[in-house]
Amino acid sequence: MIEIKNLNKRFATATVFENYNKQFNSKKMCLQASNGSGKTTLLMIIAGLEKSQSGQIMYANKQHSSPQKYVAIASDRICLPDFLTAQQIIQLTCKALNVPAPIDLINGFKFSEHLHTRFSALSTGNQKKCQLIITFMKRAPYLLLDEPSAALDQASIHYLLNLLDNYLSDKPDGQIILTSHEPDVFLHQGFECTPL
Amino acid sequence: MIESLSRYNALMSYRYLAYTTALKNLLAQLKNFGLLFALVLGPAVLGIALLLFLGLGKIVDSHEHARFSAQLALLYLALQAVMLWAVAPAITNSENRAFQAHIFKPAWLILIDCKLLLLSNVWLMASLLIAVDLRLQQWLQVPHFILFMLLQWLCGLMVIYRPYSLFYGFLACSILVLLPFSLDSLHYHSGFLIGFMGSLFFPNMNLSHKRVVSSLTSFWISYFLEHSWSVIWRSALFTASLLAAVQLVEIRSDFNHAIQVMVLANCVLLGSSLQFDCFAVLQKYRVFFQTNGQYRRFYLSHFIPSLLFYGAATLAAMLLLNVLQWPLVALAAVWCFLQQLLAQKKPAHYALVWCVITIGIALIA
Repeated sequence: MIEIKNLNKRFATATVFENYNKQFNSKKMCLQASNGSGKTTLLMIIAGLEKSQSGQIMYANKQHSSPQKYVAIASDRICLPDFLTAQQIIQLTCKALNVPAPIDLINGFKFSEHLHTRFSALSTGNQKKCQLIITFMKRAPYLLLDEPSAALDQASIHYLLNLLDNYLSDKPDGQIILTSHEPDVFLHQGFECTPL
Repeated sequence: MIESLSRYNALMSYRYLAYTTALKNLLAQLKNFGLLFALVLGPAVLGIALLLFLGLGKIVDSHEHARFSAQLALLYLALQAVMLWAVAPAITNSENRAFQAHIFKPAWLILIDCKLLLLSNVWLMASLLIAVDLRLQQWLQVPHFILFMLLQWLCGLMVIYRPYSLFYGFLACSILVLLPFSLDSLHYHSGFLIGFMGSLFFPNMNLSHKRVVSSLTSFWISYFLEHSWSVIWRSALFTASLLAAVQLVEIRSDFNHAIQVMVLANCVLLGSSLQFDCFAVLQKYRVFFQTNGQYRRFYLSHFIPSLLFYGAATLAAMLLLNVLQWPLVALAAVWCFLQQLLAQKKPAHYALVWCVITIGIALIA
């Protein structure tokens, strides 16, 4: 389980977290808060992609110097190479992670016909699908999803829910944390809501 | 009618505002070179303007050296295309094109594009100044100059509407001027016109999706193929300065040392300044490569494009100019790396250090 201790995070003009403590007790959690309160920043800090001024992030009571190895994250804050096609981004990720091409994920999200489209030319929903595909490819024990259902069509939301259902089956110490302003679909899948 | 005119004026005012705003943003991007422009280009503005007219004079008066004049005309067109390429988004206000097309008549957009294109094309204005000064008898002696101005206008239009056709056009024209026989100027310019007009019928072959991108090398290659502007303007500037250096060496061999220093300083400047672009790419995609566990390699790789540009430019200079010495080339490579680090860590000092080192080496040489 992920635990945050005494987190302090300030941006130039605003303090986002001050001595913030939080324990994510359930395996599947849905983080809720109003816009701009720091949900995405928290996920980025947990994933080790953004630095805080101080504080500790514990992963199953352990600290990791490179949490990126154990955490997969999908967020709009991660800028994908927009001059590449979706297929090229997926190829690059496959090579970097040393994993096979995610054919099931591509078919599941009905993404095949958009593979040759440049990322910048994809619709918002398809950009989200591309993000989700490369995140699920990593198969990391901790999965963080920032607004995963935003802009997705109904069929893709169903497929996403199926993926989330099975994700932790081979990860006994794993955990899924997501943020969503429309949490109902996730609550029906066994997610537990928690305020920030 | 009055209402229509008023709407047209509203569009014109909007477009002019968008044009000046985009140009201001473009100049703001060059702030790192501010001191450099002030120190080096400031006093040389008059010289550059004179050089522009001197070159145009050679294109007009081409009876004795038709082939050289045609090569010079092509170089002018290439430099003009590079400059217009930089301001093309400002001319067309491409970011808000759909918004404009939604509200105003398409013909108005094209008309205003043409107005702003003329306003931006200092190369064509210089030609027009010469054209106005020519008498009828002189015009009869240089009919190719009309074709040259037509080409300048056509290339401008191609930059903003059919940029990919320019590549085919320049390729065809380069072949024409490199053929082992000489034509007269009118034939050369007619050939250019046919080449550029013909290139409009070539389809846009976009093969970008066929590339396999599975490594950092292919990532950077893809990046520079999609953002070729930063390499093209550097290459054009380097080619122009190298050709000038070759001419200088032929005329004044006693200035060999100074020319050697200036050529190397130019290679360092053009190569290391590419680091500004690469650093922006590093910052933009840092998190993506962190998530893939490739950040360290990505960080190291972002120094390579500018070093490669420096290497290629130096090699070209060594092949064309026999005056470059290996120890100085090696020293300049270290200097290039230093400039790269400055571009990244202390961009405000980048230009100052380049100027100080250039003057220092020039004094020693």
